[in-house]
Amino acid sequence: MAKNLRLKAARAALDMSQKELAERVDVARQTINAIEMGDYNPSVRLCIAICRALGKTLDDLFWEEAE
Amino acid sequence: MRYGYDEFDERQFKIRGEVYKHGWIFTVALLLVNFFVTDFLGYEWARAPHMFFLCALVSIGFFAVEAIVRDVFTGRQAWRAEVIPAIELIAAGSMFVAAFRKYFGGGVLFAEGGMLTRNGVALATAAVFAAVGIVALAKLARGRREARGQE
Repeated sequence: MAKNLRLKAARAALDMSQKELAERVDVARQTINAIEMGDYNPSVRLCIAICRALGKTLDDLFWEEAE
Repeated sequence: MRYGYDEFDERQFKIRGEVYKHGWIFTVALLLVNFFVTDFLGYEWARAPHMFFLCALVSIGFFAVEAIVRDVFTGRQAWRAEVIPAIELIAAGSMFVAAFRKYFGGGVLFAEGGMLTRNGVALATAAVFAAVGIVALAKLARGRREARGQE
C-alpha cells in the first residue's frame, strides 16, 4: 500500500500533529502514523472522521485514481 | 466515535486478532516439530517434560515480540508500554541469576528440584525474557522519537 501523503499534507496544512488528529478522531497516534505510512487500511467510518477533522472530502484524502 | 473497549481503536482489534492467530500457529508448529523430533527421528532428549515448557515459553516470547513490534500494547494507556520492558528485564535478570547460580555457583539450585533450574530451562527463560524486554525498550524509544518528531 502506498504512503498517504495527501493526508499528511492536509494535517500539516492545519499545523496539526498526529497526536492531535488521533485525539480528534478517537484513535491511537500509531494508527494515524500507520495510515500515513500506508501500513493500515482504515475503515470508511474512520476515513470519514479524519476527513471531518481535517475539513476535506473522502476524494481529497483517500480516493486513488486507477492507473 | 467511541469504541469503548480498553480505549483501543479499530486497528488495535485487527492487529490483536492477527497476533493471536500467529501465536497459536507458532505454538502448534513448535509442538509438531517436537513430536516429529521425538517420534520420527527418535531423539529421546526431546521427549522430556521440560521440552513442552520450552515450546510454550518460546511461543510466548514470539507472541510478545510480535505484539510489541506491531504496537498491540502501545494504546493510550502509556504506562503499559513503559512497565512491560521493566517487568521483562527484571524477570530476565532474575532468571540469569538463577541460571548462573546453578551452572557457575557450585551447583547451588535457586529453587531445589524446580523445572526452571534444570536442563538449561533457566537460561532459555532468561534469554526469552531478555529478548522481549529489549524489543519492548527499543519499540518504546522509537515510539517516543516518532511522537517528538510530530509535535
